[in-house]
Amino acid sequence: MTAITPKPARYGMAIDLDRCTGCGACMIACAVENNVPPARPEATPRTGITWMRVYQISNGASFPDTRAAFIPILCQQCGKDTPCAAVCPQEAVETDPATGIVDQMPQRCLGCRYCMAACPYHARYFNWWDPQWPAGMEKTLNPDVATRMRGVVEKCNFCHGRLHTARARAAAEGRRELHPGEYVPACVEACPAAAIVFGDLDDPASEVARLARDGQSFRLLEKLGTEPKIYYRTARPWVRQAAAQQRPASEPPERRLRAGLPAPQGSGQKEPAHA
Amino acid sequence: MGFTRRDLLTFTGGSAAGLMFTPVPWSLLRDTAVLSENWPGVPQPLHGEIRTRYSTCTLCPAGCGVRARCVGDRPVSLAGVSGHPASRGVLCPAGLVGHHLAFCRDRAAEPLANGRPVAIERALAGVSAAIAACGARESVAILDPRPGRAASLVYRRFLAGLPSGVHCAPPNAEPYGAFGIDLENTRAILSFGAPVLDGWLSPGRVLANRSHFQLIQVEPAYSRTASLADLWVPVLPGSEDGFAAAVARALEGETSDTHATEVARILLRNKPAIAVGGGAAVATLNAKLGSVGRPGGFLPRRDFTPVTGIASVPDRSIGVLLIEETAGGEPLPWDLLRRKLIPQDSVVVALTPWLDGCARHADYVIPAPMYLESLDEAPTPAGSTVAGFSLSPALLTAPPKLTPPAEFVLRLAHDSATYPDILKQRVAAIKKDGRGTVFTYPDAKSARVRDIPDLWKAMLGGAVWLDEPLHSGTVRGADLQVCAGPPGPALPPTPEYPLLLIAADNPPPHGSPLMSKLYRESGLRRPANAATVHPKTGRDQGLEDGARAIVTSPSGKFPVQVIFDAAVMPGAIEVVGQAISPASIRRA
Repeated sequence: MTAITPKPARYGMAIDLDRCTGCGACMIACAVENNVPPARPEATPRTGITWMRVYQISNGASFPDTRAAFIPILCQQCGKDTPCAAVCPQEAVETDPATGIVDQMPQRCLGCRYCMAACPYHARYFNWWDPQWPAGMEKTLNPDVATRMRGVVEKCNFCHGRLHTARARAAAEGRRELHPGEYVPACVEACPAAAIVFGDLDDPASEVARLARDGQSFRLLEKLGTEPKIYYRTARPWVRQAAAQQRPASEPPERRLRAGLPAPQGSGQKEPAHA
Repeated sequence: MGFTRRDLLTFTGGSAAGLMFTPVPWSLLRDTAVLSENWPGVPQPLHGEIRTRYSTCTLCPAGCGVRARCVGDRPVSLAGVSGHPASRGVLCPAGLVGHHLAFCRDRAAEPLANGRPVAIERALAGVSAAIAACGARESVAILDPRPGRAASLVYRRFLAGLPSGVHCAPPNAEPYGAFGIDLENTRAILSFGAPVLDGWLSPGRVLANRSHFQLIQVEPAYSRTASLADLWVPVLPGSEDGFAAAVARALEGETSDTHATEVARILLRNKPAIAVGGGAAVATLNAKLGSVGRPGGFLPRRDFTPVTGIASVPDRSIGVLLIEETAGGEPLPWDLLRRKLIPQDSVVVALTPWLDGCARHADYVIPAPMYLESLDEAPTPAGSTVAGFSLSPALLTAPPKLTPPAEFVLRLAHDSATYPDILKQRVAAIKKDGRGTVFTYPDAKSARVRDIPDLWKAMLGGAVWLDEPLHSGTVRGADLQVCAGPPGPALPPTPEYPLLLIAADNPPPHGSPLMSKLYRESGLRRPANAATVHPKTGRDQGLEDGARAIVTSPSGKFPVQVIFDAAVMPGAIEVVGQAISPASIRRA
């Protein structure tokens, strides 16, 4: 495609939780961009595929002291000791040194799901069914992204197809570097509140690097040392505390239902009633 | 020593076993797995020339600009138009998947008469005969979901030729009447239940200005807007007007209500401020805030034509009711419409792309094109301070047997004009007036109307016309209609109905199967059949989390699934899209 070597970057995101309205536009734009099919009726929050999923979290207090926030969870693009890559027997997970993007290659995946067990963020999804669209709707699929078949794992890849398109355009113009904003994932483009900022974390002049250094930024489960490249920002201390902790297994079922989260393994709790 | 058959078998077996310890078979497995992508049955995307086409969203009154990425002529993704005056470059979740609506299963595909397929000519003859049979006391009404369009003019002209024609609109179709909201200069919004951060007016415009205004949400439910407001004031359901009156008094230092005093202090510190939602007391509050007719408040615009609200139409007076439903609209409240019909002697005609909603109650169903399937129009964007107009060119090929609602009414009126002819006349009138500017989507530039030689062509390519601001004239506070809020005070709970039913959220719009899936799996939007109650309230009523139950109110009963949530007001039942009412809940 091009003989020009792109300039290395380390792509990441800063998500402002105080701006996120929980509308779900990011989830929908992601699914459209990446050809995620509508689910079978029997799909549950555990078996459905949502590369990006917005959860509602709460401070746990009762009315009128209750407070809520929305937190979009996607692949955190771990930068160090990437858990999913370390356990994959098929080399189906690779970190691109030129971009820092953790790529999933469904063509190599054997469906063992070790990566799903290893991912501390539950950001990976398994194709339990063959992809199917209502009659005629398959003609609206994105031509830049292949559909995945039953039996493989998939996850967010920062809309890798868009990166290829942007690189091709830059190469055609003889450029080695991408202009800021020339490559943005679909969720970033779709967010009506401009809550998601994307860019090169290694570029000190970039907005995302500035926000990542900001005192209000934090990363999920930082204590694991996996160096995620998704930064979250909030001025609300309880949101920060809630996001920093593992979700306790003793959490009341009504809170889990509100968050749309599955019950903990072995707890005997049921899936959300409306799933 | 010769090479025996046993040696051959040993060598072969050993080689096969040894090979398993080399990368060769695994690499082969890995690299041939790529072929599985093309197995039969795995859907393949279309390939072809990538093009960009433009349209305007008509799913709601926001009037957002749409940029469609197409393979050939077929859209594969939709996005906002950068710099668009209403949408500011974004689309809502429903707008992002608007091109999927055409593939929904519950769409109307052919004309129906009493549930049976008929030819459009026969349906037309049946409706004409019903209209001709209406006596002087029986009115013919058209329920217009978006008054102010060129289609609305067609409806008015047709009805004017009948002895008793009524052009009416659903509740809240024109929440701010002849006024727009100058959001760009507002510094505080006091909202009485309006979903300010959840699809209100043009969401892109509201969110683009969010950092410029303080938001105070007065609402019994802890909604999305409440969760992101600078201040949430939880009030008892039905007491919003009382609180508005208390704030009005507090503005003049005449109340001891601490919440109202705090709210008044914020409003006075952040002027200009406006109050939205609510009833008459909120209009009075706006008059006291001085927010009517001033920058940062409610500003009048030119294009408003008053329409009768359906609630004002006398009960049992309509002989023939034509109901237009839009592709993205919420189902209209059938109980309200039913009261207006002459019992057992009325004819209902649904002009709709859907088989659910009003089509379930209609004698005739005239299938309308789905969003993006035919040339349509978007009138003034919701909340705009200037009049506006844009075309919504078709991006999809419509199946046969569909009739745009305005076209059906033109045929009823024996008018030879077509709907595109009417739209052309509207654009020609804009060009003739020569007022205002046109923002064109492909280049994101504005130009004066008189500088655009072929306005129709420009509009078809993606553009929005915006009138000049109208800041002259006398404006009084009493002119402001603010009816987009919670209904009046609820009846107090009784032994029969010990709880209060309140709206949890807006009903989910018709959406693509993909949107339904994502909301269902993430639990981000509550389903229509969920009743959320405080755990204590639920247990007091003998319910468990997840139980199936029946909610009963004076207007009827319906089945629900109970969800316990400590964020809900004790003593209340939150159900999607319900009006405030006393109610009871018991296990099914």
